[in-house]
Amino acid sequence: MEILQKKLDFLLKKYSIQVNAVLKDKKTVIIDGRELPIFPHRSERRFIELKKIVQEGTLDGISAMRAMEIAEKTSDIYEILYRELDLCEFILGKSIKSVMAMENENVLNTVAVADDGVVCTVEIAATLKKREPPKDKHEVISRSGIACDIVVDAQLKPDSIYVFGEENQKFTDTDFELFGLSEKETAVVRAAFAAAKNKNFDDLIATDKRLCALVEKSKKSAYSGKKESIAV
Amino acid sequence: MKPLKIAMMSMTHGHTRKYYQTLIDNPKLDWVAVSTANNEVKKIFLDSISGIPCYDSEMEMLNAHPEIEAVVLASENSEHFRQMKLCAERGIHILSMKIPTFDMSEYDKMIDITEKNNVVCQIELEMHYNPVIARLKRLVSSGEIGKIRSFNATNITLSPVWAFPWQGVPEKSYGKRVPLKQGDSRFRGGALCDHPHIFDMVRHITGSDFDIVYAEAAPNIRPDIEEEDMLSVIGKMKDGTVFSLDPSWSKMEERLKIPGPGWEVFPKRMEVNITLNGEKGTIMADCFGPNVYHSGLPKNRYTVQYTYFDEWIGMIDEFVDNIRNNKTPLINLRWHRRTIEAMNAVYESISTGKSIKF
Repeated sequence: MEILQKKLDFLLKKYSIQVNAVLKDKKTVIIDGRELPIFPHRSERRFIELKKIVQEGTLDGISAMRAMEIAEKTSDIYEILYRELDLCEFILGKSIKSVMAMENENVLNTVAVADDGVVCTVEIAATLKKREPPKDKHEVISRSGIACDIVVDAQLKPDSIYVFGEENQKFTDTDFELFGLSEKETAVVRAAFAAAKNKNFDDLIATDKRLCALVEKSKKSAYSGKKESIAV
Repeated sequence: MKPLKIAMMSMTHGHTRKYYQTLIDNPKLDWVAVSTANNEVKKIFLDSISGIPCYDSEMEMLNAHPEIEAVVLASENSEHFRQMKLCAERGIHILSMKIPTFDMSEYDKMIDITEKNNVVCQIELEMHYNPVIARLKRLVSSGEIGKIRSFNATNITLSPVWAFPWQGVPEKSYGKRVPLKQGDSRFRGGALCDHPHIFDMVRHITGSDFDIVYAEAAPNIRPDIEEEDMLSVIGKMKDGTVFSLDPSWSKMEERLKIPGPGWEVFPKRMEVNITLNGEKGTIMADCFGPNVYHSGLPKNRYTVQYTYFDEWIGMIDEFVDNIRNNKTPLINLRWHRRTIEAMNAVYESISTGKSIKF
């Protein structure tokens, strides 16, 4: 966390944001004594672009969104669901009104329906060995076309650089200003900085509360085998 | 072994063309004749294949060729029962398209009539003869990922309704006109009816049976067709395996009358991907990859050019072996019944908004 805090301090100073912002963990920042959720995934470039594609008219007549994440074995599947449901709402600009979930130990499949009938499918698994990067995919399907964060006819995301030397390496650097951080670390710093800059504290807290309610409904559904509705 | 004297009927099914090469090349077969359902498909056939007698009616063909031992029913779903009865009563073995019927009473009559007449009735689920599936099965049985916890799969394509119009007619595809759900202008018979493979494969790979099925139909991406084109299915098998199945027509197409180059609007016309998550890891499989790509004629659009495997070779080999050696097909009517029941449960779930317990 030390390096992330240093990078956050660098941005705050550079852009003259006059707050005391301390990263508590990779999901939380404390700004002037107030603990806030930061939704780092919303700061990943690919999701910002997908949101633009959907909400600025490149895609018209949205029908469905499909999200998949396979993470390390020790991951909490409902924590991943929290993030993926937020991504569905964030990218689509819609609110989820119902969830149906099926769970089997370290795997979880969920179908969520937005207030206008758009269907979101979320497939989650916690099966990977330690330090194996997560595998994920996000796809929006509409009358006018498809947007996706994985290239057509591929199962996994590519990287920017591959090194085939004594030790094979690969790199994906996405932020010059925060060069040296991984994509996920970059997103944490960017999200904390956005909170400090935008000061939309009440919105962040309300979103967190709503997502926690969605996750609880999903747990209930996985237990009962029945669809759960959520007030929009 | 004496070559099997085989014929084809109707020629209206989207898979009709898949048989041409196999029926010509396979030394175990003697392609005797075809009968066509209408002048349109007759012309397409005659433009593609020469030297095979082509008849305007099934009866005409069967009467002219009493030597026919087996028939591929390359027809719309609504014709299957009538044609099966016709063939079975003459002792002719049957290779049925992937959906025998959605009417379970009719389905049971199919079982009865084929068994009473002692004919082989094999269902065309060609994924079983796909080398990626063969590898997947081997990896699972060797315990590579331990017990399977989830089976997630896509069977997504462009919509065939412009080239094969019966697939856009609920009575011909589903067998009757049934509204998708109350207040919805769509009817059963769309993408789901085109994509049974993953409902079959989850049973094969897990060795378990359906326990619970839940589905939602999304808004159509083709608002001008009267059947569903986008849907999502989740559920659980009796052994606890959860599944997520996408049988949508989610890849957009040019509305061609005859499939060919330039059919794709979205670069990729078809995908069957399977992800198995187990207690010890994950397997991700693309059943039709890798491929090659071009941006050439006729549309200069970036396009996935498939380097297809030919599943039909293995399937026909099994069909001949079943007939000559009196074996039961891997995908027989009794086995496949549960798959069709699960697909009907998907429609029931969409209609009621509830999960369906088996």
